[in-house]
Amino acid sequence: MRVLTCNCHGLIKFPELDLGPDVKIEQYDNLCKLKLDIGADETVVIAGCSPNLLEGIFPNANAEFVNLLEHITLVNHSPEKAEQLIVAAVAKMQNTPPVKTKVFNIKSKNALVIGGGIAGIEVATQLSKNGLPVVLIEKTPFLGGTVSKLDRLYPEGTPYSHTLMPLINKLQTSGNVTQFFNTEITDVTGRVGDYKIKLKAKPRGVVECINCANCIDVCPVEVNDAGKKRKAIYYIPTFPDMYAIDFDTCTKCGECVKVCPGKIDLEQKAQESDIDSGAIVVATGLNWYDVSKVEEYGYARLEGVMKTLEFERAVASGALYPKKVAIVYCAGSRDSKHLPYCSKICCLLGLKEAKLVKDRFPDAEVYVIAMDMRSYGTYEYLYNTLRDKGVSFIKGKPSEIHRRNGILVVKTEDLFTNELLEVEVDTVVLNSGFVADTITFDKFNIKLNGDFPVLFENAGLGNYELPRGIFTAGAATFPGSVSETLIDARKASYSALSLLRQDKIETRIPQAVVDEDLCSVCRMCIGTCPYNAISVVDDKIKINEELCMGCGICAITCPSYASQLEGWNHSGLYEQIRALVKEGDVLAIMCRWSAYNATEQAAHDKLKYPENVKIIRVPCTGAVDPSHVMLALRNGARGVLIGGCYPDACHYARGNFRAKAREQILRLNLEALGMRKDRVRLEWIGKDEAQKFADIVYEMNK
Amino acid sequence: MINLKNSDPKFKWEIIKKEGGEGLLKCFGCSDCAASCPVRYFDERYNPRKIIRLTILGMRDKVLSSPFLWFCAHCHACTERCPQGIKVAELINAIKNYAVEQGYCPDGYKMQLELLQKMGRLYEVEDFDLKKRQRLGLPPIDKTIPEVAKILEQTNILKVLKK
Repeated sequence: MRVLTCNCHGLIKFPELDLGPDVKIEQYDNLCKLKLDIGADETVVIAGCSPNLLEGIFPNANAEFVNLLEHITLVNHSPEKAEQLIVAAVAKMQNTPPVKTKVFNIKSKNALVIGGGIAGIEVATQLSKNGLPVVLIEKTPFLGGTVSKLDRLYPEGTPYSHTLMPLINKLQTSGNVTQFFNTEITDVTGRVGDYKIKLKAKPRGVVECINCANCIDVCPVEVNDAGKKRKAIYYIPTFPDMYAIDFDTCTKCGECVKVCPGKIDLEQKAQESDIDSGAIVVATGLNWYDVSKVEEYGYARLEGVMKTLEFERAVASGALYPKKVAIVYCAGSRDSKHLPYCSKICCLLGLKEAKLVKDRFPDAEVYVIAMDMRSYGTYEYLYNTLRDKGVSFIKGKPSEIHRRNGILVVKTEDLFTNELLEVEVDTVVLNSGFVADTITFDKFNIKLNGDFPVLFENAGLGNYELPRGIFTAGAATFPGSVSETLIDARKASYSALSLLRQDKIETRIPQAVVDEDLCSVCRMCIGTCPYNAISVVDDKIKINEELCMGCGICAITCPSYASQLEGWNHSGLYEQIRALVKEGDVLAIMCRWSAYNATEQAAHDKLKYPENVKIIRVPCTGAVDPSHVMLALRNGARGVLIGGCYPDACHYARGNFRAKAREQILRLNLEALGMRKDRVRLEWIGKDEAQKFADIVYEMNK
Repeated sequence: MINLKNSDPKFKWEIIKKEGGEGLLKCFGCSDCAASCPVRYFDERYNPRKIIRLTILGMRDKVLSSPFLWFCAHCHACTERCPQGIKVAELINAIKNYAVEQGYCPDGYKMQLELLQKMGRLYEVEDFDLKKRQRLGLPPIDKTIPEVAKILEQTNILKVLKK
C-alpha cells in the first residue's frame, strides 16, 4: 500500500511517519500537477489538500483522502494530529477492499425512440443524422402526437404546420429510421447496450391507399375525437400518407371496402416483432388530466363545459361559436386531491385559447378566472396583448360551476376586488394540468417525482447520469412549450448518441454489495433504497448496478451487516475510528456533500476550533451506523458529531431523515446506559456554515 | 357580490376613450397602488385597485355611485409606482369625469361649484376678514371674483352637471 503525500507549495509540514513495513510513503511537491498513475485495484492514502479536488485528479483511485491543508495547516493544528489522521486512514484502507469497476458492453448500436410526437421525431432525426440506426415507435396510426391535435401554438398562435411539417420532412429524409405505427411495447429485457424489446403492432386496416377519401363518405360511424368530429376511418395530414381505421369504434360493416380503389383488410392480424437496442429514449409525451374527477366543475355532467383541447378543436373547426366564455385555470392543479404540482404550461395554453376566441370572434366576451397567472419567461407579452384586447381577468379559484335557468354560472371570489362574483357564460373551458404516460415509465423502472421523472435535478443526477441507457425526452420529462420540448429532445439525443458511440462504458460509482451467506432476505433494505435499486430475485436480494448510486443507506439498515457499501466497509471504518479516536476527542463524521465542505470552509474563514476534533468523511449521514458512534464513545470520545445536509436537501433524497431517526434511538440508548445524551449530536450544516460547525464543536468540548 | 350579468362590457372602453383612461386594461391587479396610497392609510375603504378592477369588469353603477371614488387626493404616489406604467391618478380622474358626465357628481362638489360661480371663492370674504387684513398691513381683496364664473362657463362644467 502506498501513502502519497503532498506538501502543497511547502505549506504542509510533515511529521516523521513510520507506518510499518507494508506501507510505502511517497512525498511529492505538487501532487495536483503530476499525472500519477494509480491502478484501479490498488488502495492508497492520499494526504494533501481537499478530497473534492483530488477526487477529480485521481478518478480511478481507491483512495482515502486526508485533508492536511484545511484540517491541520490552515487551522494551526499540530503535526501529531496529522500523523493520527494518516495512521487512521491507512488502517481504514488496509481493511477496505477496492471498489469494483463495472463494465457494460454496448452490443447493439440501435437506438429505440418511443413516441412519435415532436420530441420523438426530433430525437430520431438527430440520431439518424449522426449515423445511428434508429427505430421509432408510435402507438397511434400517425406521427405528430399532441401537437398534431392542436389548432395553433402559443405564444404567436402559429398553426402547427409551421413546426411539425418541417420536423416530419427532416425525419423522412434523414434515412436509417425504421418507423412502426400503431405499435406498443409488450416486453423489455436486458440492460444498457443490450436491450431486447418485443413490439406488437395493432392492425391499421388500410393496406393500400391513394387518399381518395371515398371511404369517409360511406363510413356510418361518427366519432368525437377530442372536440372534432371524424369517421371511424380517418386521416391526419402528417405521416404516413394513408388512411387508418380506428378499430375501437369500427363496426366492420364493410362499406369502405366496397368503395376503396386500394385495399382495406378488416380482418388484419396484429404483428409482433423483436428488436435489439443499445439505448432507449422515452418520448411518450403528456396527457390531459381527467378533469371529470374535479366534480364541482361538472365536466361530462354539464353541457358546455369543455377541456382546453376540445374547445380549441371545436372552435377551430367551426363547430362552436361561443359568445361568452369563461376559462377556468388550475382545474385540478395545485390541488392536493388531484395534481399537487403546477404543470407550468397551462397558463399559456389558457391565454392561447383566449386569443383564439378573440381572433375569431372579436365581440365575444372572455373571462379568464385564474388563481395566479404564470406567463413565465418571454411569454408575458401574450398576457399583455390579451389584456389590451379586453379579456377580463378575474383572480380566484371557482368554487363551483352549475346551470341556472339553462345558463352556465361560474361562482368565485374575485380577489382583485375582494367580492363574491358570479359570471354567466355559454361555454366554460377547464384548463387542467398534465400527467405523464406512467405505464411506459413503469416498464422501464423510471423513478418519478409526482407524475414526472424529475427527481434528482439539483443533485445533478438526472436520468442521464445513471448507467442505464434510458433517457426521457420532451414532455415526458416535464410539460413544456414546443421550443422547450425540442431543446429537451436534443439534450436526450446527445446523451443517447454519446453512449452509443462507445463500445463499452465503465462506471466506478461505489455500490452496495450483499454477502449472500449473511443475508436472511428480511427485505428491510428494499424500502430504504431511494432509487428502487433493490429487489428480490430467486429468493435472494439483488442490487441493480444500473440504479444504485452508492449512498450506503441500505448497508446501515441491514440488521445482519450483510449489505456493505464499497469503499466504506464496516471493518474499514471500525479500524479508522479505533486508530483515530483518543481519550477526550470529538469525532466529527461529516457528509461529503455539505458538512465536510463546511469544515474546509472553516480553514479559509480563519476560524479556530479545538485540536481534539477529528473529522472523517462519509458519503451520507444515512450511512453512519450506530455501531460506529458507539465504538468512538467506547474509545473515550467526549462526543460524536454527525453533520449532514438540511432536511429535504439530501443528495440521496432522504438519507438524512434516516440518520435523524437513528440519532433519536441512539440518544435514548445513551440515557439508558447512564451517559449524557448530548454526547451524540446530528446537526444540519450547510456547505458555508463553517461558523456553525466551529460553534458546535466548541459546545461539545465544554 | 358582483354578478357579471349586470356588467356593461362597453363601460371599460368608454373610460379608455377619456383623457387619462388609456392605461386601464394594463392593470394586472398587483395592488401596488393601494399599498402606496396615503388616503388608504386613513380610510381603508378607499382602494384604487378595487375601483380599477371593477371598471375592467364593467360594473358601471357600482363604480360611478361609489363615494370612495372621490377620496383620491391626487398625490400621484400610485402613478409613480405602478409596474405597468398606468397613470393611476389620471385614470381615477378620468373615471370621475365620466361619473360627472353621467350625473353621479356628489352634492359637496356641486355646492362648491355654486360657491365658485357665485363669488369666485370657496370661502366668503366678510368685512371682519378685511379689517383683519388691514390690521396686519395687507392690501384689501375683492369680495367676489367674477372672472371665475366666466371660466366655469367656458369649461362647460355647468352644462355637464345640469344634464
